[in-house]
Amino acid sequence: MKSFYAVLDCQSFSECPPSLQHLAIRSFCEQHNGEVSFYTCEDPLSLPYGVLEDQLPEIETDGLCFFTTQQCIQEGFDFPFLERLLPRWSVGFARENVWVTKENYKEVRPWLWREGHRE
Amino acid sequence: MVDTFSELGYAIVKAQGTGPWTLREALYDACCEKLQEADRHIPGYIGRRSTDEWFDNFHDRELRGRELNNLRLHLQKTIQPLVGPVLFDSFPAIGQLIGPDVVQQRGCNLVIAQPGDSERAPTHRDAPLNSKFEVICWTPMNDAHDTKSMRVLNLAQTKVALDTLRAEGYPAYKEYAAETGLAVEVPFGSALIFWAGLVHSIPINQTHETRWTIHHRFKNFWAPYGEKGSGYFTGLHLSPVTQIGLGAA
Repeated sequence: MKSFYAVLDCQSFSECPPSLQHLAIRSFCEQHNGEVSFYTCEDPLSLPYGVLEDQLPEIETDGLCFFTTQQCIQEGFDFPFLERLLPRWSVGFARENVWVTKENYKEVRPWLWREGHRE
Repeated sequence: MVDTFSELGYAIVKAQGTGPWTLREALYDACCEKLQEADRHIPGYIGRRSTDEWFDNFHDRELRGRELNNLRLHLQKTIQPLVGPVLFDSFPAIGQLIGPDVVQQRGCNLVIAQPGDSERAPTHRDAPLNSKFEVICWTPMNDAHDTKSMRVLNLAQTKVALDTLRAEGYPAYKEYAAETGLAVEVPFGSALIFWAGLVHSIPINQTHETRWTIHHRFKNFWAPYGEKGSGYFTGLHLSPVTQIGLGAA
């Protein structure tokens, strides 16, 4: 059983409250043979990754699971951020049903780019 | 109490009645029952002891990770129906602060912080993601002191911390909170009641005792619910006029 670190999306709480985000992330992690062992959430003033960046050195899970790709979108999808995570963790996005690993990154990258340019 | 809370954003209040003892006994009984069921899996389990010592020395059982979390979730679920009503009755300060029409969080949060455990919530404030009109009743089940407690910033310090977060980023904010926050001393039988917007941080417990705390949120029924929405809460107490008003055609 793998362990995953959940990262809730504070910017969509009004549309999808934390309880539903937890359910979605937990279910998605179970589909990937894991469970959520801990979670975090940004403060509106620490966006995009202030709290998470600070936590990273202490995270010992197999992967990180965000609620949505929208948490990693600045001006387009934030590939440099994802590429800093991938050597150490696999990265899931529950809402979009995609799990990124070192192995499938090249294949998934165009789809992530598209997520960053939805309109 | 109200003056202290208005100035600082928090107050430490002593329980009226035996509510904390009721909660602690419920926790103790549920925990003993659960551990006895799994006795053979838990080296070092030695059965019932006096509760003070039992809570302080809980880490002797060497429960970690999933095993500890499963126990914690079981205990949370077991005591949940008791928590809101017992705390609201034990700490009339809650009603004084938020009024007679009260909602409470649906679940309850139980924290078991064993010595040296590095897994803890980051420096944070609950509001604005939670309601700005909310208080947290932070109730230790054994004496909370030094690093077996938490650090809380008062209203003025919180303002400085948030300015620091805006201007310098999260690491500086975290450092400010760690250096400035007061390590609250809350004896068993009392609670820290604090405004949801206060910045607080949780140090690694460097004492030789396990911290047990119940965290429960209350707010006025009529006040805005924050980003988490009304579904996070459930009713606890309504004033007679509100009851009549809600029932009227």
